Amino acid sequence: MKAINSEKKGIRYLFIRSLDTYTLLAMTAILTVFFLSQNPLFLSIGNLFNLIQQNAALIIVAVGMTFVVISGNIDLSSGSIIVFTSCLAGIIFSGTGSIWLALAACVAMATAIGAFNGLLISRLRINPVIVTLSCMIWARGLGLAVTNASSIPIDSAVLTTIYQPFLFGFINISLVIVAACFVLGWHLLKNTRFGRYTYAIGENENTTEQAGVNTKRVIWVIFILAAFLMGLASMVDLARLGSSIPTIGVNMELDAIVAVVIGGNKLSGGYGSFSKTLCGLLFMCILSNGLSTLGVTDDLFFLIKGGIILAALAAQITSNNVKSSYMRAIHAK
Amino acid sequence: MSETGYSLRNTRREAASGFLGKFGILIVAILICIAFSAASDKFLTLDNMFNIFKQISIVAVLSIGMTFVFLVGGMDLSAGANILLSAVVTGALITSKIMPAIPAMIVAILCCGAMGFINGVFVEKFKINPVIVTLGSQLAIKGIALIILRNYNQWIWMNKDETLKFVNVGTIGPVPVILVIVIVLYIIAYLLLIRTNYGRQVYAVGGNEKAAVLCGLKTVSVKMWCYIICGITAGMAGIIAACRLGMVNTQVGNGMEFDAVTAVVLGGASLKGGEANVLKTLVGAVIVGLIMNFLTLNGVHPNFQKVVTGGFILLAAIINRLTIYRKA
Repeated sequence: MKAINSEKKGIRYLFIRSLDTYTLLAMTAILTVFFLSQNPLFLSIGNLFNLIQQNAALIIVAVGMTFVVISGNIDLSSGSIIVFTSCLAGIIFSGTGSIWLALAACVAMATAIGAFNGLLISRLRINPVIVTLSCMIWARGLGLAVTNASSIPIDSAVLTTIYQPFLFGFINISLVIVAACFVLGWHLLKNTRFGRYTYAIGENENTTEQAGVNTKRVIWVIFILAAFLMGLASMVDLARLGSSIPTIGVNMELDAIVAVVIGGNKLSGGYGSFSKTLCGLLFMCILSNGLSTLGVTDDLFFLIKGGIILAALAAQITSNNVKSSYMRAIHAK
Repeated sequence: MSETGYSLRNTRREAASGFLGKFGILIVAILICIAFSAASDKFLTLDNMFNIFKQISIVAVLSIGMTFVFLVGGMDLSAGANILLSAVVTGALITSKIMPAIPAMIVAILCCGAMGFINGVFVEKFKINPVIVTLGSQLAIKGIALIILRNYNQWIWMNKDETLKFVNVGTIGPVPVILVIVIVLYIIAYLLLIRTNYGRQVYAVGGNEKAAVLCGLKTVSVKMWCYIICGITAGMAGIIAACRLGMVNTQVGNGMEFDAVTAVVLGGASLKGGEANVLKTLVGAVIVGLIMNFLTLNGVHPNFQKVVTGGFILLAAIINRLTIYRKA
């Protein structure tokens, strides 16, 4: 015991204890320095807020994905649900002219799809990968089919006010929505019974059920929550683009899951937190924003992004393994 | 009374589900054939049958590799991008006259095998979730293919090559070459899984990995070979696609991985691993092909076909869940 305590005070211990976080932050720093060398304005306040606004949808989706991942599940449907709901909103707006009806339908439809998926996953016990993969295919297909793959402009004062700064010249409603989602999600996961159950289900679903928790309902609610946030993300994206575009949200599911996982949340469930998601989001936002400011062509963009994501995941997992073997060695003493 | 009643019901249910599990997919395929032949009298002609088989050949070959990956509890979503890569590499090598068709095809297959190896390294050595790895590598592979394709103005025409033409329209006796290739590949895969040590090991690792480790199997290398096989079959599927189309553009192989997943899930595979069978996968691929063929013939838009594909994966998974009786 004494040995452990003296070991715990060492710098080596403190370093290795958060090795995965340090690895990620180092990778983020390298990316930032590289993009800064290419574009001196990369770290300006203007670009930083631009960075958050461009990735507002990603951040909101990642909040829900954190719950899904910590409960040991996976959701591949985010990009397609965003596309489908935004197309739906576009059609309803062009049909009725009511922006509120369109936005409400957007969020309601996303929640309904999430409820459907969650029901199949929690009640029928079908693998979440299969359920959300199928949703990823049909929702995108439906979005493209109902709009004939053409974008619908949404010209509304309500949407433009979402991006109108009302405080200090740069804070607007979309930033407030992003911050509110993040803080509320953080609170929900950390301080409520629902959050505890999420961890418990990710750790061991059978035991949680035997302890008297209605795990089926909790998993259902987790998928509904995630899909509701996808609806919100779709709304924010609608406001940013000013029209419903059937080609948005491509690879959103990959970005959101990678942001959550690269931050150190475990896909096997039961382990993670919102601070980890925040680190992962920082990495992904800087990566995609930096690549887009560099102006690389589409094909090169795919290659670089895919390569960096795989390399970063590998580095992350390796440092995690180093950390856990070190921890095991210490506690074995 | 209740006890005997329970066990009786149980055995009956088990027997029924055993029958459904074995032949259910075949019955569905036959029912679809009957329905289609009732709808059109041209459906059951030999020519149309050969035609349909030629159309589903790409998905059928891809599904072989997907079956291997499903057997070890994995998933390969980069298979569609691999098809594109293989078609592009074949086309580029042939049109720039670097080598004749057959060596070009071998190089393309080896490239895709290497991509499968990279997937395997990330999934099995670094223990990253296969869905994430293959979604990420799909981006990278597509990027490589598109970079090559950009040098050819996004289109590579290779309809003048004799070998490719032979594969597309040639026949051996009355049977089209493509059909022979597909059947030979399926026989090889079937024998590999049922008759060889490696096949037994794949089932063992997929069924219970811990037990397989304790039996002294090299589980990591067994699983990595499954990803390599998936890459290789995707490469072959890409070559078949290049032969059939006579050209390559950016859309080749787009979304094909989903069709293959549908075929494998229709064949009764479980994502947990250890449960899949190439013959059932073939029937699954035939069903997917028949329905896509039907939709195309009736002028259903490709976007709406995606909706059907997605719905079909879900339906297949639900049917699996409800018919295949698994001891708890």
